[in-house]
This record gives sequence, C-alpha cells and structure tokens, in this order.
Amino acid sequence: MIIEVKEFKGLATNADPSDIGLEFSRVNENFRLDTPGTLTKQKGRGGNTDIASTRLTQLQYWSPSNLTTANAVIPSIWVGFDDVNNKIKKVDSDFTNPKDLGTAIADVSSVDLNDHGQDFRISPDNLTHSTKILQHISRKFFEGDDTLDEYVVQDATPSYPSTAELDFQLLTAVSLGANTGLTLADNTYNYKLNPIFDGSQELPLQSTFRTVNTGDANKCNKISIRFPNQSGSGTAPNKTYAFNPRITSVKIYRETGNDDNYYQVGEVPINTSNDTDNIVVKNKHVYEGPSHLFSNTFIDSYSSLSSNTGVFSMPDVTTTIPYNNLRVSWYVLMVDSNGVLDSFQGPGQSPVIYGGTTAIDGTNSSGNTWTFNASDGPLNSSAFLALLQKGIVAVQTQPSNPDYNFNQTCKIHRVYFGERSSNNLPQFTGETPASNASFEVFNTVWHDKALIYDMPDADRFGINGANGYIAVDASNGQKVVLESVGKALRVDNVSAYADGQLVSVYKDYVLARDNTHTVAHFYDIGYTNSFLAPFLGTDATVDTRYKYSQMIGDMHFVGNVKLDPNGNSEDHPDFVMFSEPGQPDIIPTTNFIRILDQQGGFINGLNRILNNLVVFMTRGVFRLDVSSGDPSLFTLLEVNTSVGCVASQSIVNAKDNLFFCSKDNMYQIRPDFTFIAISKPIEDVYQGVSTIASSKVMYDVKRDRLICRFGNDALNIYCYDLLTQDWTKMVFNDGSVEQADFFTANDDLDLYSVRVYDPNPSP
Amino acid sequence: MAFVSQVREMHNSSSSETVKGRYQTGIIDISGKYDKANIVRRINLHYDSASVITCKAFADGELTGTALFTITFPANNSSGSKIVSRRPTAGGRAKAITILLETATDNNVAVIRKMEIEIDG
Repeated sequence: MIIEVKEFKGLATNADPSDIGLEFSRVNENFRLDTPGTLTKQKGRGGNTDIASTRLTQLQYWSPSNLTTANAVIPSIWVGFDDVNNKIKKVDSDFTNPKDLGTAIADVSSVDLNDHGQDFRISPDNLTHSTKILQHISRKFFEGDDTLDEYVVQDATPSYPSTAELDFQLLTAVSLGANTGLTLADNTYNYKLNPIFDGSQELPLQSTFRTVNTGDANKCNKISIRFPNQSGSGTAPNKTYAFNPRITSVKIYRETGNDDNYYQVGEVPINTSNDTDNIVVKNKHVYEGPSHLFSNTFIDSYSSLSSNTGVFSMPDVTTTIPYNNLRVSWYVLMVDSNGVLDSFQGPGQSPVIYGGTTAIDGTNSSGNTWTFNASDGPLNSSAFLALLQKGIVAVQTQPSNPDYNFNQTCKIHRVYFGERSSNNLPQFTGETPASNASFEVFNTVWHDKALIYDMPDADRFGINGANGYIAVDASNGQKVVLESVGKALRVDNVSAYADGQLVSVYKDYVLARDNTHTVAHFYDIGYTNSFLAPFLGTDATVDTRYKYSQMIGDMHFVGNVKLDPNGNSEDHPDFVMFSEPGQPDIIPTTNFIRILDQQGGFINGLNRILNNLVVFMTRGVFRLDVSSGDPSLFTLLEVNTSVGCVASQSIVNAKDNLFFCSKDNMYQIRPDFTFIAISKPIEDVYQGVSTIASSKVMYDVKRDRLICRFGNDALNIYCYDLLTQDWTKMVFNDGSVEQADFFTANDDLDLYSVRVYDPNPSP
Repeated sequence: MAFVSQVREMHNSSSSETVKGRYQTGIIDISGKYDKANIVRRINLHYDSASVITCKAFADGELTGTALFTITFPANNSSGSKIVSRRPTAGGRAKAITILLETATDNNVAVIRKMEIEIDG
C-alpha cells in the first residue's frame, strides 16, 4: 500500500497527536511552504554590512514623500534606535553614514517609529523625553532668497520662536486720506503674531502684543515682522538655524477696542519662491503721471488708432477762412471737476499728447486747403506707437490748470489751430468736428499721483482690482494703492518714484531684505475679521508627550501620555488624545478620551483597522470608531476584555488585519473585530517564552508572512504565512554568521536581519 | 567593546550562510486496514537538491530518539528523474511513523515536492 503525503503543511508543535495525521509537521526548520505542495529550503542570508558603533534595536525604512526644491526625489533613509547608547539614528539607505538624530535620550528602551509620509515621528517610551520629528525640509524662504534642502530633526511639538527668530518689529498707523475704502475705523487696535509650522500647525496665541491708536478714520495699520535671514550652523540633521525652518508663515491677529477677541486678518507666508501670487509686478519700468497717460483703449483698439485713416492720421484740411498757418495737435480731452468732458474747442485743461513739443504745421497747397507732411505725424513715430501699443502715451504739453482723471471715459481729439497773422498766436480754427477727428478712450488715467507700469497686457488690473496692493519704490519705500485700473495705480504721493525705474507691486505684503534680516511689511487696510485665534479664552496647552501614535485621516491619535510636561505635568497611561485636524503636533489637553479598562493596565500600542482606532491595553483591546471625524461622535467599545497586548513591538497591521502578542497567544484581529489565536498550533512554544513582552513582529510583504521573534530568542524565528495560515521556523545556527535580533524591510520589500554584536570581543 | 549592528539581506541568492532544512511530518498511520504493525518497504521522494537528503523514520509516536530506519537520498539536481525510491536497509514494524527529512547544512536550495511511503498490507 502506498501512503502519499499529498501536501506538506505547517508546524504544529502543540497539536494532539491523534489529530495531526498527515496534515501538519512536528518540525519545520528553514523550509518554506509558500508554494503549495512543496517544501522549499530557503537560502540563507547574504553578506554583512556592519553599521559601526551602533547597537540598533529598531530600524525602519523611510522614503519622504516630498521632493527637493529642485523637484528631485529625496534619498530614502533608515531611522532606528540604539537602546544602549540611547540614540535615535539615521542611516543611509545602503546602511552607511550613521548619524545621531538629536542628543541621547536616557532610560529609553524602545521608541514608536511612525512614518507620516512627509515627516517621521519618533516617540520614546520614557515620557521625560518629547517626541521627535524628522523631516526633509525642502523649502525656499523669502521669495527664494534663502533655501533649505536637508534633513532636520527637532521636538515634534512646535515651540514659540524667540524674538531673535521672529520679531514684531513695528506697528504704525499709516495715513491714506479720506474715502479710500482702505482704512480702519478710529479705534485702538492690538495685534499678535502667531507662527505657522509645517504649513498648517498653530500654537495658541502668546500673551505679548503691540497696540496702536489710529486717531482718525483715514489710516491703515502697517505691521512689520522681522526675521533673520535663514542660515544654519552645525551639521544636518542636527543644525541650529537662524529661525525654525518649520515656520512657513505668520498669521496676524487683531483685537479691536480691547474686546478680548483676536481675529485673524492676514497671513504672511515666508516659505516662498519667486512664483508666489503675492508678486503682482516685479521690477517693471514705471511711468509717472502726469507726464504719462494710460488707457485700456490704446491697447484694445490699437489697430484702429494706428490706422492711416484713424484719429492720428493727418488728412488734407480745407478751412472756411484763410489762415497764415494751420497747426495740428492731439489732445486727450479730460473730464472736468463737474464731470463734463473738456471741449475740443477749448481743450486748455487737457494734455497734449502729440504736436505739443514740436509744432506740426501744414502747407497751404491751394486756396484754403492745407496739406501736412506725414513724416511729422504720430503715425510716423515708432516711439509713440510702441508706447501707445502698451496703453501708454507721453504727455507733451501739460496745462497749467489740469483736469486730472483716474479711470474716466475720455476722448482723443485731433485739434487744428489757425494763425491769422504773424503776431497772432494760434487759435482754434473752429472747423467742423468732422475734420477734427476724435476717438473715445476708456479707463483713462492722467493723474499727478498715478504710476503706470510697463507690464504685460494680460496682467492688467480690473477697475479697482489692485486697490490695497503695495507699490514699492526704488528705495524700497512703500505706498498703498488707492485706485487702480489697467496698468495704472494711484497712490497718495509719487515723489519717491521716477520714470524708468524698475519697481514692483505686491499684493498682500512686501519683503525688505538686507545682509542680516528680512522684514515682511503687511498693511491692515481695514480687513474684516476672519477666524478667531485657536484656543482663545481657554487654558489649553498643546504640548503633549506620548508613547504611541496613529494617524487616521487628518487626525493624530496618541496614547499613554504626559500632559503639559513643562507646566502642570500629568501622566495618563490610559489616555488616548487626538490632535487638531490637520495639525498632528497640536494635541490640546482638552482632546482626551480615557480608556477605562476595568481590568486595569495601560496603553501599550495603537493601530487602526479601516477608520477605527484600535487601542491595545495590557489587559484589553478597545475599538474607537472615529469614522465621523467629529470627536463628539467617537464611540468607544472594548472588543476583547480578556486579551491584551504585552509587546508593543509585536503590533503589526497587515492588509487591515492586526496582529499582536498577548500573554497566552499571538492574536489576529480581523476587520470585523473577531479575534483568532493564530499561535494555537505552536502554543506550547509560545507560552514557553519567558520574555514575551520583548517580542518583535514584522510583516514581510513580499512573502506575505509575519516574521516573529518571540521573546529574546534570536536563534529560532517563527514565521506565519498569511496565505496558508501555516507556521514555519527559521533557524540561524551557522556559527560563522550572527543570528537575528530583528527584521526590517525597505521600499523594494527586500528583507534584512539586524544583529548587534561585538566583532572583537575581549578574550 | 566596539559593537556594530550587522545587517544581512534575507534569502539572498548568493548567500554564504549555511542552513539546514528539517521537516518532520505528523504521525502517519501505517497500520492499514487490519490495524496491525507494518513494515515500510520503500520511501519515494520527488525532490530537487544539490545535496543529499536524509530521511529518518520514528515509530509509534516517537518524534526523536532512535530511528526506525534512515535512508540517504542522493543529490538530485540533474536533468534526470526527480523521483527517487529507496528501500530502508534496516527497520522494523510500526503502526505509525513520522518521517524526518533533513538536508545538508549548506547554502544550497532544496525542493521536495512529494513523498510516498510504501508499506506491507
């Protein structure tokens, strides 16, 4: 008779011999069962790479999900912990170049390593130390003047910058004049600054503020914020910076009339490159009014204006009476103070835009008919046409009593003047409008406080579209824009500007920089109140230390905590706390949930199944449903009252199943929250381990298995195949090769063993 | 003491680490339809190995100790037949056995696809 062993199955050291039959193995060392029906003796390990002077007990691969400032991929690294030297370590992806991350953290036996994509958090299991954050900060500051592109490590919870890092330098009331719509009511205003970290994280407001009283209703307030130019000393990732490079912007809060409410009125980003929306006009030639004039019509109707039969042409003219001379000029007729357009018969309060500097006289060809030389006319002036095409014309003759206009509908007029005798000054001929051609022009600006920018046509402002923007002169002085249209702005004074200077206009704020500092100037032009400052009127602190953490959505859950470590410190080993949405390091003391396990114990790990936070206590497992995202709707349920987690480093999430080591067995929590004791087949082995709390488990994705170091046994490593649900064992007994303390994998899913040993032990 | 952290890639194709593969079946009933102790006539092994594979049988619930018999299957990674049949050179009767397959301690790969136990009865 032939008895066929049809299929080789996994290890069952604890099974009843009468049940075991052909199905299971009593010994399985170094054979894999991942190909059904076969036993495959797996290859051993490759050559060693020794990381000098480190005694790593944890190591996790991290590929930052952001890019460098040059949009290149950031090289991946390993982040680990050395529990003998008490150092958090950074190692290059090829296991070279180990570096300390920060200083030693004494009396720490393990850390919680958490990959958050763009940053990486390391939480020591001794709460005398704060959680660290490792980031590759790829950031330009101050419109690209400073650049940072390196790993940075610091405490995860942000701290307020010192005055040297961020200085509320000045608060002044700036007079803009009446009826600008850009001023604040006459009142007392208090301002506070609050730095924003990592683009979204914000601390409660500090108590310090600056105050200003406007004194009338014609002022806006100017806030000047000074930073040192960014630089660093030391070696990354442990550099000391001129200011915390996690700061990405500064929010400006305003209190009106000492009413105890601080509302956000603005935000000044500092992590900016040259393409920021704030730069409206950058280093463009400026033309001053009233020596220049602007109209959108010059641009939009340029082809008509420049036509040989258009308003700038010079056809023959037959006058009704004889003249000694006939002269032609072009005016842009302005609207007077009564709202009436100046007449072409009496254009004396409007500017001459051609024929004013050099007289254009006609030739009496026959009778009263006059002919003009085309070469004298504007259509023959390339300079005139080039500027006209940009919407700008130079004013050749300014009237002594001008009718200044800003954004008015005006009229270009060709005007003839006749000279009756040699001592008679030219006077308007009184000819019919047909021969004195005109062209209506819109959005016309001719003003002694106007600045006209030689900017692209497509970037033109709408009517009042740039009001409140900030025009900067060549000496970095600033003027608030009071009116705007097309390429023209009106400010209260243009004396600091000159034609042809390269100057800029900014939308929200202006940066001024010297060799040591950069100052951001922000103008509160009567902004309406936005959001209230966070935590206003509460005693909440946000400095929370924690041993374990888990992100779900935009909320960061942490467990086993110390509140307010630098104030009224409280330890709560059974608290789960959660961050403000989108602010993983802002964990206010008010955001807590006490996990009250009747059996006692403390939180020994956090993880998630779908949108459920799974809280591993030492004597129970809890499920916190946070799918609503609303803390008031979070629901807590103890899903297993008799099984708890005793080894925090045994908690593994594989395909939304959780695995962990309990005192009696290793358990699987399925997505429906049923518990399965997966170590039953080897229960005698498992329960024979005296140091099960030291167990470490990792998920080998490539082979779909858990690799379990139970207790401190580095010789016999148990593997649980998630597909076949079988146990096998790896035995490292080659005396020439070190055993394996723990395992880790990189992004290519290559699996590595790590062993700490002394290559030159004392004899 | 200058400790280092030694890193090695697992299951490396050019591994220098020697490992030994050991697989012991559960207890296989060979008492047949008459529920009597039987003799193992042959062990047929379908395998692929650059090194010998040792096959040991333990009788009647024993998992270790003195083997009922030991068979050495030769290295077998040539292009020839992958199924090798060997008769125990010594042995005895048993109602149930477990089979322990052991590879050499080396850095070779071995694959065992199938095992058959021929018994009297």
